[in-house]
Amino acid sequence: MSQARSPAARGEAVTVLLAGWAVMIAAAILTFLELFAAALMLTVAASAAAYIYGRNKPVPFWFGGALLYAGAAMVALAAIRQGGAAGLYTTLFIFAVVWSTDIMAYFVGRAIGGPKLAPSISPGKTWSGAAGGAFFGVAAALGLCAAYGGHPSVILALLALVLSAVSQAGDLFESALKRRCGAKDSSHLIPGHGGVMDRVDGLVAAAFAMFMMAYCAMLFGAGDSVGTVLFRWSGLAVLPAVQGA
Amino acid sequence: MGRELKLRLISGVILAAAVLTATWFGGAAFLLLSVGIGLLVFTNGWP
Repeated sequence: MSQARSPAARGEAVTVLLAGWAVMIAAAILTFLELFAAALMLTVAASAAAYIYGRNKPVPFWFGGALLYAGAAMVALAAIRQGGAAGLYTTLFIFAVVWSTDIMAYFVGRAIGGPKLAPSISPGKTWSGAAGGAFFGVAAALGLCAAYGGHPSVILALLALVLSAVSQAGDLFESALKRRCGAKDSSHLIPGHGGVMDRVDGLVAAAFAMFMMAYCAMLFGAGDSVGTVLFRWSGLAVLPAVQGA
Repeated sequence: MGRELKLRLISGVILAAAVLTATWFGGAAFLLLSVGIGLLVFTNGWP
């Protein structure tokens, strides 16, 4: 968005951004009202419309993707926390995987080093860090399951491994996007961190992956919310006495 | 420990505490957090 533009083109770009804001606010209201499918459909439709409109107009290339990414993040996180204790467990499960992966990938990568994971996108990341992060992400997930009185299983470990891989892919995606845009940090809202996206990129990707997997399972009768699906996969047939709405 | 790392640690702990509190209470608190993350990603997350 840094290239010189005519005032008319700039005005049109601002109008499109304002339309994007209107969509995001509408999606936020729908999410707050727990109308998750409607919120997701709205952002998907708006993203598609932005893509079609932007083919011949001065719309930033990332605009449609930003709408979809932000909308999916909002809906997936809110939907996952639904379902009382099961929702709390599922949200903690995702936090455990993503945060353990993120923290331990950094320390294992620093301690072991070795071949770079994607030097053209993120020069600091190594294969050893990715593997270490995945290992501790899975361990944290199984540990949480055991602490809840569940039965850690191969399926649950595979699920945690997928979520860990997706969170690292989300991290790389954000790094690639920043490089494409020539930005070092995506914002300075959180002191000491690269930006909002740096803190939530892995979480957003993992939450959406969990949401989609559980939603598919729900279609086959595995539960009536994301939380109850993960409860079943964790061998937690009876809800433990944990607070949380 | 470098100043940047210390700052990263402190803000990370504060952020985690806020997120976990909203997660624990659920309901409107977590819905607001989700909506806030979505809107922040849309506004601040992009160059």
